Amino acid sequence: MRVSLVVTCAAVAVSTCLSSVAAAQSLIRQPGRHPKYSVELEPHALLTPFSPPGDTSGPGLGLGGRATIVIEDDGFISTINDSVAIGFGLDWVRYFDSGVGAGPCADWGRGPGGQPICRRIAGVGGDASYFYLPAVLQWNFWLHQEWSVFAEPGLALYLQSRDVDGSVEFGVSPVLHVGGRWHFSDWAALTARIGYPAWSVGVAFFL
Amino acid sequence: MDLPLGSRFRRGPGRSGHPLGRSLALLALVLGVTVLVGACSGDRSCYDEYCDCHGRRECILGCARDGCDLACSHTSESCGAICEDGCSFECHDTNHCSALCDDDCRYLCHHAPSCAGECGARCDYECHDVSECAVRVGPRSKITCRSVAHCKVDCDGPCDVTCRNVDRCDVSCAPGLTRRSTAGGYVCE
Repeated sequence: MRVSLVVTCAAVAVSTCLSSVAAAQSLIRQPGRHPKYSVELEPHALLTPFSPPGDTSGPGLGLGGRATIVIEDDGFISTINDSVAIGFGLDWVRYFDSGVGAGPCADWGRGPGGQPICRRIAGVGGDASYFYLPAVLQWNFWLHQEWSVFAEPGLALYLQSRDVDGSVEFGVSPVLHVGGRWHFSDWAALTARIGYPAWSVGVAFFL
Repeated sequence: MDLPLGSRFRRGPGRSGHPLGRSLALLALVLGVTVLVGACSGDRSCYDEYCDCHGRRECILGCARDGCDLACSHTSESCGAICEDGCSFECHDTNHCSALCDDDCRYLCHHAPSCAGECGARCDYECHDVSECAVRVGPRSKITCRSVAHCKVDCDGPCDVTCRNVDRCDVSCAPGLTRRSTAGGYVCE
């Protein structure tokens, strides 16, 4: 359901973008005509309308960065202006749950009268901090001198630290983004992406 | 007509890269999409404030902020809460209730074989229709046991304990305080 929504939104965004640049100086049918760079460095801010992987739920905000290395200057489709890169990143996201989690007890202690009292919960939700280490394939489409779009499937290792019990866990999450860039100069672009696990807005520097 | 491209915006040297590289990249693309669709297709569990623990074997609610309003019932083994200041927790119709909270908490436990709790200052603890109620409370707390076989209270400060229709009402006061009988139970003062 969420994936469908993201794909639909992405399709609308891309088609809108494509149609708007079509009337301008489109580069999409001119293979290889795009910025020549080896690495794209992108610090960004993060927003997550989706719940994260694991037991946490709720929206989040964060900061992070991405380094993307070009592996194919000409992409999968020979007749269009596309390219392929591999991206690696580090993102920190703070999730704001309702503050309540639930799960079985991880530590039963003895209380007054010898009655058991749970002192720690296993598998709870609640507020949490996440660190993501994404590795993605970035498929770029160079539409116009000032505009490009991309899709980014991949995987991310994540570390979650939960407030309720102070526990730390590791996991693996799928990653899927679609994004766009506004190339306001030869060496930098304003970049936004939507998808899972987090949306981002940042500035990309082409080196 | 040539486009007015920037210095980095140039036509490439032609198709480049090894075919194996493209194949691997395409494989990664397909794999990524497949994994994502599979991972996102399931329902998420409910962890809302009024999350229903009904039917679980054991359900412990945890709240990392002040003023939580929690409830748990109808689990086969136990219900519980771990929460901060100003927490309210109601527990009933399970085998055992457990509560751990800081100051200004309200803990209502009923219709269960046993209820245990530890709370800080100004705790309002009520236990009724239970075989055994056991609680440790902080200063200026108020405890009510009603229709209970055994009510065990450890007061770490001044407290007021009411026992009605209770077979055995045990109240322990912190060192330095004295226990005094009242019409309805005991006080530590």
